[in-house]
Amino acid sequence: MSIQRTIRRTTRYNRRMGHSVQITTPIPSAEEIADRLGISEKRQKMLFRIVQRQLKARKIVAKKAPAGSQSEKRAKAER
Amino acid sequence: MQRRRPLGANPKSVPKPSVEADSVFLNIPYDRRSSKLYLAYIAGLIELGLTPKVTLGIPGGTNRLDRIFELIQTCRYSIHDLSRVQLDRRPPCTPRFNMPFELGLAIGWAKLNPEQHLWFVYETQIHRPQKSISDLNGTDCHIHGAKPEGVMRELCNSFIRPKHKPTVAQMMRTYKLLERSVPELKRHSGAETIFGARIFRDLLALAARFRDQRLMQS
Repeated sequence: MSIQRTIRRTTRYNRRMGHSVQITTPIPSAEEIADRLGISEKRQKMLFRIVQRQLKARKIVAKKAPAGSQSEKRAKAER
Repeated sequence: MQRRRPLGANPKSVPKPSVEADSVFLNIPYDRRSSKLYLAYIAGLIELGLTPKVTLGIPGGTNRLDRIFELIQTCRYSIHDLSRVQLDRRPPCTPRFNMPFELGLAIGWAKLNPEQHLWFVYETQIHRPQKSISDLNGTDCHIHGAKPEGVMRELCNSFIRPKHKPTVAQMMRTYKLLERSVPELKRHSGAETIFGARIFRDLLALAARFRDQRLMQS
């Protein structure tokens, strides 16, 4: 299938709004993005460790926050 | 003597670079004042399932312009942030022309290939583009107010997904996690600034990881 037909199928330009576009392309996973960018497996593991550390630190902060606090409400909204 | 295309050669037969349907060319200022917005664009676009591409890492010289244009051609969309209209304080005091110039390249490419490229203009102040770049009067600019939440809001307005729509709160979560990861990332990369090719790739991969973790937990 040609590129033009593929692009026509995956996007629709909303002329009424002037500048918004509907996207239906699949969401690439973190591994797919890392492979596309040429990030080595060793570096991907390092980045994964950073992710785990940050998420753990976030959980500790959320646990420490008193019930009904702004940070707890924010955490619920983000989930 | 320059080599010319043989007489009778059809310009349409020159192969065009393949377009990546989920790539977005990000044309924003690379300075300390824009670092929060830079992270916000990365987090927001990754949350929307799009992959940003930037000109960081393209070396200078005669080939730089060709490579920038090729990058625009391979991206389905481009976002041009024209917020940096001030004069640079360091002498010589000049404005930055790169952002409007690259916007011009993208518009030219989109005019010739309307089904292959769409461009968006982002700005900090409402009505300012009408003065700074009046040729674009009539074009809707996305005003983010120089805030990460504003960038997320406008990205959600620009790119609409019928399914798997992330909320601004979810995008801000990814942004905050990314911002907190920057010092450790700089340490590992040996980078002094987040405006580098290698650290940019790491930021994309990190943002995608944070997004995937959130999707797994929900």
